[in-house]
Amino acid sequence: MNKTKINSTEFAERMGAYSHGYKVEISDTVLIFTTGQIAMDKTGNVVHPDNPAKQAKFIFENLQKILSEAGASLDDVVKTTVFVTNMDDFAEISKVRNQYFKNSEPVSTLVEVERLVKDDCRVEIEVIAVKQK
Amino acid sequence: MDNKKPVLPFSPSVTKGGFVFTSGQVYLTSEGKLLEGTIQEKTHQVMGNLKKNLEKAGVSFKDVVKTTIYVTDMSLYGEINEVYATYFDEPYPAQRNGLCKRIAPWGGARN
Repeated sequence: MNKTKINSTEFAERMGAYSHGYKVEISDTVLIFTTGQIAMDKTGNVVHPDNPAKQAKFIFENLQKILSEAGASLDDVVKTTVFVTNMDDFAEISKVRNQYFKNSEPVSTLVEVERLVKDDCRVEIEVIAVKQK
Repeated sequence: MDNKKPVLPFSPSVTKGGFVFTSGQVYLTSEGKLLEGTIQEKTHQVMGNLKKNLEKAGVSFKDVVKTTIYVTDMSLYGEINEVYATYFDEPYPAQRNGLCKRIAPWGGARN
């Protein structure tokens, strides 16, 4: 078994002891876990504070980058957890989510939480992807 | 209930690379309604939904290694956990619980 951290200067600077992603290889199976992604740019600023759908799009593009570093894509996602600060935002976020998950249709969990790590973040998304070598 | 299509592009369970993943489940009944009852009855409904999804994927609670429980009221956690524990034998799966305000009612249970 091989474990590889996925970190890149393409993503927001890390705020603690974590990796943007983690690749775990078990024989011919590759599992990729991602840190929950928020709409934070490379300099640590929250983007689109008033637009949860645009935040979701930003997040999905970052998730795609993390997965591609591991040789996978959003089509390989099997499990996703979406955290929102207002469940009423989900209708808009869902439209974006559905485009990116059109092929993978992952198992899903959705919860509303009081706050996310940075104020003005309206949504956080994490995924687990599985790929055969 | 088996022919009901999910309302969103997600699946009740996905099997890949020898692993089974399930969607978060709420106490949605086979009629697509939220169960009315005690927290114990609601927890049994959630676990029953998970059981069905696991069985469809050819596995059971014995094969579970990781769970996450989301509750909207942490004071209910003890009662929920008592019911939850009856579905597992030792060694119990790794578990994490989180407090959240609201949980999506569709929850992926419409399999």
